[in-house]
Amino acid sequence: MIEKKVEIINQKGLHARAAAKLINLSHTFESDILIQKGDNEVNGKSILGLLMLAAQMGTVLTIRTDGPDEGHALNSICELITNKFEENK
Amino acid sequence: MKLLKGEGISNGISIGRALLILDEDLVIIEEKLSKKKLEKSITKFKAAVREAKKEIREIKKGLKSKVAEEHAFIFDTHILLIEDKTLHAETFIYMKEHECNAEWAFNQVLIRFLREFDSLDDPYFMERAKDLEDVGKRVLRLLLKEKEMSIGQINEDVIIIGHEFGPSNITTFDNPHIKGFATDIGGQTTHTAIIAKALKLPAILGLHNITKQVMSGDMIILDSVNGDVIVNPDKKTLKTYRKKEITYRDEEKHFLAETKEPSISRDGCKITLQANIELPSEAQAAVDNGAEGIGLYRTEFLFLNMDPELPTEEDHYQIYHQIATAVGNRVITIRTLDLGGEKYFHRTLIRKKENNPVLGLRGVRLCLNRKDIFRTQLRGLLRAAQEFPSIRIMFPLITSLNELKKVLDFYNMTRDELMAEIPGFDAKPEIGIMIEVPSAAMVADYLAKKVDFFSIGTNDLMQYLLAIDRGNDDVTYLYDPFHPGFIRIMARVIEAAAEHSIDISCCGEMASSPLYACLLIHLGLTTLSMNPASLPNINHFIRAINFAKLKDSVPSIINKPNASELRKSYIKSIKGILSKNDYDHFFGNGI
Repeated sequence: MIEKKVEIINQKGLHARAAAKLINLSHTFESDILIQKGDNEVNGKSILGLLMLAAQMGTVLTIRTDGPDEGHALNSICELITNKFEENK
Repeated sequence: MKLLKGEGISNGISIGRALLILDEDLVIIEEKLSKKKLEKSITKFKAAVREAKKEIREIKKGLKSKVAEEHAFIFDTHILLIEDKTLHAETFIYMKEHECNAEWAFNQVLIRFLREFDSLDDPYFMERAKDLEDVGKRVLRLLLKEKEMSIGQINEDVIIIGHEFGPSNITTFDNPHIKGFATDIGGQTTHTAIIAKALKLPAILGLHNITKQVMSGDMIILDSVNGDVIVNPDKKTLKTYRKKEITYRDEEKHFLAETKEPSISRDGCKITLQANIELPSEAQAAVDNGAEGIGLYRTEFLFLNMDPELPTEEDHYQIYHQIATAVGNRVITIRTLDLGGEKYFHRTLIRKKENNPVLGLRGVRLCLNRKDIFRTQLRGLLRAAQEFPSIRIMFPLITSLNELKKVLDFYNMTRDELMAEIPGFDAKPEIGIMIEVPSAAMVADYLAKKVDFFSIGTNDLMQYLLAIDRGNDDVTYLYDPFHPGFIRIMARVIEAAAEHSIDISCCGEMASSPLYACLLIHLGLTTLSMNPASLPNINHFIRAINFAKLKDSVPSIINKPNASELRKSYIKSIKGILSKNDYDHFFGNGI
């Protein structure tokens, strides 16, 4: 299992559209994906979990991946977040 | 164990499992399933999820042309929510743990997640609960499609929990397994409360957020004497309340047997107790509970039951005939149509949505506006009165002498018509008015000259006088019969009636509260009308009390500027007069 901290830098935070993008990405990996904010850790493949993190701009998340493609998964997810979920605004 | 405080309706104690109804169309009941049936239920759930997904895709497709692509993503979120593995896994775990049906399990899991969203501190993320609720309800509807569950089919003792129930919802609760209900909003004087009392259904209203604090299946104690809801009581509390429930029922039985005894206080005041009814079927219950007459028959339900049709003259005549027959020679006061306000709705009569219906076209205003309907009702009433001299006619919402004159002119004209049409017709029933608008109360001395009786409608009088919406639980704390403004206006009306020697009574729900009944009698009323279920209680109370021993004299009550001080000294004084048993029964341990 590997992990990495990443800050949410887009203005709207991990809102519904961003969360949907993250979920769609997570589903392309075989590895388990866990996302943690403070004491809360949720399944990175569950939109319910992601939304309930209520992660606003400035939140630092810990991403953990575990499985055959964990390295690729971790990098892709962190990239999506640092790229502000590829939103224009 | 959790204690919630609200307003208790129709005294009693009920114990049962909570059944949360958040949406009238979604009545979800727990079913215990065998292993085989459990697997079947899971298959059904998966099919419902697939179907729901298909539906959402269709909606999204339909939208694309109309709404900008910008918004279509919302439905992608919805699809992700519906597919959410956590949601499914939790549902299956719940089903296996409780060996129950999918819809019940899914609903329980859904509510748990909705509450988690609710506890977030970011408004954007809190709002996502709406998305989850939307998709959840879609799945539930599909699951329930063939089931057609309704409240009438509930076959286990339950206490229904909901945000708010209207009068028409409550009538569907007439099922012996429904032990009571509790709601977030509402109060003593709403029509919901009135119907609950008529059905003898214990209820606690105005609990603010009980729908957020209780899950279906939780053990619930409703103590409507004290307005308490106890959620998941510990063993000891449950035992105490089981005992209380029995004691209360025994006392009620005892009081009911006592209703044959006249309601005379210890110091010899004879109080006439009458009943308020909405349905003809209640007339018998009223007599059984010791009513010496019907102080108020609300004819609204006659109209509402026929919606969108209107009752004919014959319909009116038959119903009044039926009630008068049921109550024998006892007086029966029939109030002409008082539609409007609150949630009463008749498709033919009320067409326009009013911004402020309580101050709108209601009561005699509506009748004078629709004289055809008024005339039909008056003719039916007069024909029944020809046979039953016990019938009295009462007009609602009178605001001035001029308005009263208009009503009386129309009434006399209708009566003249009948005299011309029917040989020997000479019915001359007593005519009275409701005093429920402050302006009418202020000119009660003028109005008294024109009518045979007054009946004070304390629910509306309080609403108009103190400017408090009857159904808004954020302001019900202002409802206070000890308010000096209310006491003064009551004293004024009572004095005007006495001066002109006309009959006066009170037909507001206030009379069913022992404390307020005591106040009303103290102020000079000798006739009180209330829901039939409360009659044995109030009869017992009157027989137990000695008005002469009340410490506060009437002039001193009228001149007390502080309502809460007056209330305190009043209760203390009552406590000194009643036996401990009686005091505990009527006032519980709270108040």
